Amino acid sequence: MIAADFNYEAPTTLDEAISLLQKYGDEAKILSGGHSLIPMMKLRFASPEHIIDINNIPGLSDISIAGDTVHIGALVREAQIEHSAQLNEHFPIFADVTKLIADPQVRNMGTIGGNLAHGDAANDHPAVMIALNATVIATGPDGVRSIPIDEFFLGFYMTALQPDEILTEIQIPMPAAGTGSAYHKLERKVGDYATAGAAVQLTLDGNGVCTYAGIGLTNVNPLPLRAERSEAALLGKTLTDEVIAEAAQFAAEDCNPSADLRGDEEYKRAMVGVLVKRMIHKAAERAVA
Amino acid sequence: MTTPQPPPKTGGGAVRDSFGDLPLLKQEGAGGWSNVAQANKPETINMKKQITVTVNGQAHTAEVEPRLLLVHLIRENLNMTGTHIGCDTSSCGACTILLDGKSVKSCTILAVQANGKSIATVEGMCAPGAPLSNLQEGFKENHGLHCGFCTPGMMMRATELLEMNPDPTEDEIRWGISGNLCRCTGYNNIVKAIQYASAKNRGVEPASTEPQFV
Repeated sequence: MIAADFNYEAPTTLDEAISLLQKYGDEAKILSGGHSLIPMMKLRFASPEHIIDINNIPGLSDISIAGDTVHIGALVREAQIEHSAQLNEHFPIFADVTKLIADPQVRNMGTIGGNLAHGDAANDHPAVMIALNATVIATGPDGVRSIPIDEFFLGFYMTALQPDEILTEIQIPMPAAGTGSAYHKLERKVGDYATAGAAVQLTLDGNGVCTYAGIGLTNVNPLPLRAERSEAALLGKTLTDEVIAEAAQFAAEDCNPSADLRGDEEYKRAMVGVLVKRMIHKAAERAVA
Repeated sequence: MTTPQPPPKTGGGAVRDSFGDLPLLKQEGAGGWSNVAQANKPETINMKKQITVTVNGQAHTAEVEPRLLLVHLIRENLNMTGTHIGCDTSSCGACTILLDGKSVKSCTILAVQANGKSIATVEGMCAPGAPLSNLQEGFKENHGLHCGFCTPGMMMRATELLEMNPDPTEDEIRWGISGNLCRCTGYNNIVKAIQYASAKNRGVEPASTEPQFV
């Protein structure tokens, strides 16, 4: 399958890339890993006139910790995250999630920035970023702006990014002591989108009381979903089986899955409940470990 | 530029087709995708680009359309047909090559993206007449191929896997080749082939070359 014709540009600076976006407007698409964009172009589901390949722009591929914030460049590949000891020491959730994203070859290309900027609730990083309370950094003609993750996803393939902006970085608060995180998705086979997925980050104080709860859900809602009632059900509580069961039940009730080849709505709600429960347990175990 | 409006709170989620598992084209104007009629395309579209790639140590320069896929550059422009096209949807891994040392699916990369980069294909695993590489020997000794269609992709993927993890467990090998499909379902012997190469790479005698038919 061959994509429709397009014009290809490979800028080597961010300024140049933004100028091209200003020039071409929403007829341009940014190419990072390309493993969502190129298949859509090959199937002619998308025919952008201009492709702006940002892979030659330096400075977007680093993972660093500065103060109490982790900075992940938009072009950091999934494989880089999967094997980053620095990141996985503080966020075991990244080892969980990257292992389940597509397959090893795709992870060598796919980027965290692309995974988010694609604006697809079926992607895995959006739920993780909700759980970790991340901030998305966008760079445009007027400079840099910060977008809280809860304001980033606006619709199916729609994000808060403007046509002349590029997602350049993700910032994540460093976890407090006593924090654990976990992600799992139910998938029919390697490379499948999630039937359902749950990302959880918890902080427990010295008495085992939950002082932070972040819970994001994958592919069970038109938008990546924050399970707000589930989070509230955990906050300020000791995580007994009853408390966890209630939080899981809220997530199953509050999502809006659609029936497809992966299962009907009732099944997916049930799986959301199971996954949220398991990931709360796993995150809590890691928090005290 | 229109400001995207938040969607309604309730309802279905992404509609996905059964083939290729890709989202169907969404409504016009949503989120910046555009499907401009090709008749209206500007003149700059499809302007050929000159690229230089190094394949198995040898530099090649070509004038290519931006939409040319890397696998087509390799197979059709450079006439190296060891790299296969299976699913053409980045599922099967038959087109796996090494791009700057990283295993990637060349059906989902544009040839222009490889400009200035180094590519390794199965043709580079050993020179004609030279002894087989440890991986090739492993596949031969362990009946790691039936029809052979997946084999070049399997071996290129296994090359990077063993570089990153010289002594992988069976589980790590199976995860490591999870992006490669063998339609003969000969996975057990493929795993043994990779274990054989791992042992030989490390100077250890490979365990057994008895093929497994379970």
